[in-house]
Amino acid sequence: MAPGRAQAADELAEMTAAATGVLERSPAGAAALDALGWEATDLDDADARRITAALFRAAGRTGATTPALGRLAARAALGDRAGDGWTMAAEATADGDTVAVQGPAGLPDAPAVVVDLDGGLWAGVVTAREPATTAMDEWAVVHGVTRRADLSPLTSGIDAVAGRERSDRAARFAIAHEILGSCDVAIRLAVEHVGSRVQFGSPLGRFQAVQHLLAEAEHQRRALESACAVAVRAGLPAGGDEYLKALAGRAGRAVMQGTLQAFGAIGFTEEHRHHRLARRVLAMDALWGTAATLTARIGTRAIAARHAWRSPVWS
Amino acid sequence: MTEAVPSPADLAADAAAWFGAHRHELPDVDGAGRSFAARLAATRDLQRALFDAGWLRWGWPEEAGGLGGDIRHRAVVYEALADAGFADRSVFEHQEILLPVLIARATPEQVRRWAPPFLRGDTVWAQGFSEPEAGSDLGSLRTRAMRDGDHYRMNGHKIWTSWAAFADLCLVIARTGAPEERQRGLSVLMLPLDAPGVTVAAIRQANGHDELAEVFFDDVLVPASERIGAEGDGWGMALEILSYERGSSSWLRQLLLHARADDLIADGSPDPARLGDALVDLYALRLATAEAVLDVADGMVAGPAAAPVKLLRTDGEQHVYELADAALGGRLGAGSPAATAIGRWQDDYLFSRAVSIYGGTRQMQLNTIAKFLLGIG
Repeated sequence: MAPGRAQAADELAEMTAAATGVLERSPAGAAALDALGWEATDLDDADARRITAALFRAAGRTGATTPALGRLAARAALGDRAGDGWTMAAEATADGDTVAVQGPAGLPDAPAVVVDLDGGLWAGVVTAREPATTAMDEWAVVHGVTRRADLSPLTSGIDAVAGRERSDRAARFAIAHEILGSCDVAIRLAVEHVGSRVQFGSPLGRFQAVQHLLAEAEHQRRALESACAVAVRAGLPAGGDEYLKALAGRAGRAVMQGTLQAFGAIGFTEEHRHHRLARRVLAMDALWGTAATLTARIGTRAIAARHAWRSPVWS
Repeated sequence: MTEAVPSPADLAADAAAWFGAHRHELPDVDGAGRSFAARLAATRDLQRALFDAGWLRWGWPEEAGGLGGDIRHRAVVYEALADAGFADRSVFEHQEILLPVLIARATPEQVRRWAPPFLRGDTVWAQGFSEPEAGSDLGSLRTRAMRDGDHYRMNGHKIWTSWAAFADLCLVIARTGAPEERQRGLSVLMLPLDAPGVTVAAIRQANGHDELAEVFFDDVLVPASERIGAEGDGWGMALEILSYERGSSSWLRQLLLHARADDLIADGSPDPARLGDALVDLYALRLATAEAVLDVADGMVAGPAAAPVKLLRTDGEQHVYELADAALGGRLGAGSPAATAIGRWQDDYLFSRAVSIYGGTRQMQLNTIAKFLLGIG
């Protein structure tokens, strides 16, 4: 392998392993990011993309909940104008003066939340709509509320559109890697399970039906892994983020269903780790466009353009 | 080497400019009609024109008739060709499967003798692997090549041999060792399909075409000089060929499928959500094969890692043509392929049913993933 590409791949694997270790030991939230020394940056160069990819894949592997996603999106939208700790909502809808927002973890705790509303970008404080009552509610998706009157304008028009597009690309890049991390662990645990669980006198993994079940899941995971590798190496072109996010949601759901099938009933219990991974994938699919929504949008756009877009892949 | 090798990016730009300016001078494959023989003749002409203009020589070594460079150069030229409307070169796409292994394993003299005519379109090759009793279980193949002085005496029967009825040469995997040696007793030989003792019988396929064939060997004398690699190297070579077939050569197929998706948008009324689903499939295939191309450029042989790529190709191809069937009113499964106005869609749809069979069935790919990539079973 050419030294550059091999070295980059090794560095990414090492960074991901290191980030995984830190997130497994650190408390949740912003403190975990402090432990990693991570700050939101632009994703214009491969080094920044590798660092971000490592963090989010590690988050997917560990289930760590941090404000990284929202901060990354805010930074992408506003650049240096994003203040310390600023985060960004994935969606905002207004009903009179009330603005309902949906976004990643950390929304209610942030000093300011960037909101895309009425063709502009705004900043304000968001209150959690449904306060967390159990640890399981500290999921990756938060529903919050704010008021129009409490939002300060940041930018509008073309600048706002460009900012939104940048934040979409950054957020979807990150989410794809987080889903990939969840898939890594789901398959690893499933392989361990079928190697040890004995039925009909043999480990489950001896049965071809089980082998094929997990092979189909691994095939989906590898498809996402390749796409993420290209996104790290060559960046995400405009429009490519929708494809990557759609693939991630689809692959993640397929992996979770296939691995659940391998676990059987035990995988469908609260105590088993599988449902945390599966819920994380569902949550990540819900943010910044579900696979279903984006897939339909991709098809509609291709018909309008009378052309099937091909992603740049070399640089 | 008379020309400096450009970077793949520079070659891509040059190719795009040249094809844009000259594509109307190139042979019209689509206008050749529906018969495979007619399309093959036109494709040969296209291959020759592109070789003589230098484009299909980039990415191959000089001894093979090339101008230097590597698979990345080939990949960008194929993409420029697809953009110019030539996404399908049929039998010559076999070069991506067979030539890399030939160049790595054959003697320089063999490469100089065989490769340039193939690259130029002067010869067509077939690949003699499967047998009636050895499909997925290739290691149990029975075609024998017994050493007889300076020759091998070949007896046996191959089946599902693509393009054999139209090919000049056949790369055959045969047993030179004892049957109980299984994979260790296999070797690869190249022989002309008009050699005495060779009989080729075309197989009519479900889509009305006869691309596949049976090949019978009855005391065929093959000079020992036509063996590729050492005796016993056959299994390793077969695995490498299969990994190219499943992995990096799928770069060509994603170009064709993207072009067909464009055709479908123009010809039919695809459901947007299903079209989007198929395009996400093609996106995954494109990115995976791009990584596979870079791996090959870096000197890696994919091995078992090619299996997931084959599955991506299978999924993408079948979804595109299933979508075509839906978008074209469900007409593709009925009537005679030669008679309908939407014949090419019909041909492609019917043939797409077999993509989960050739190059290793879906089940074999899943076995490979489970055993070699997951360590299960």
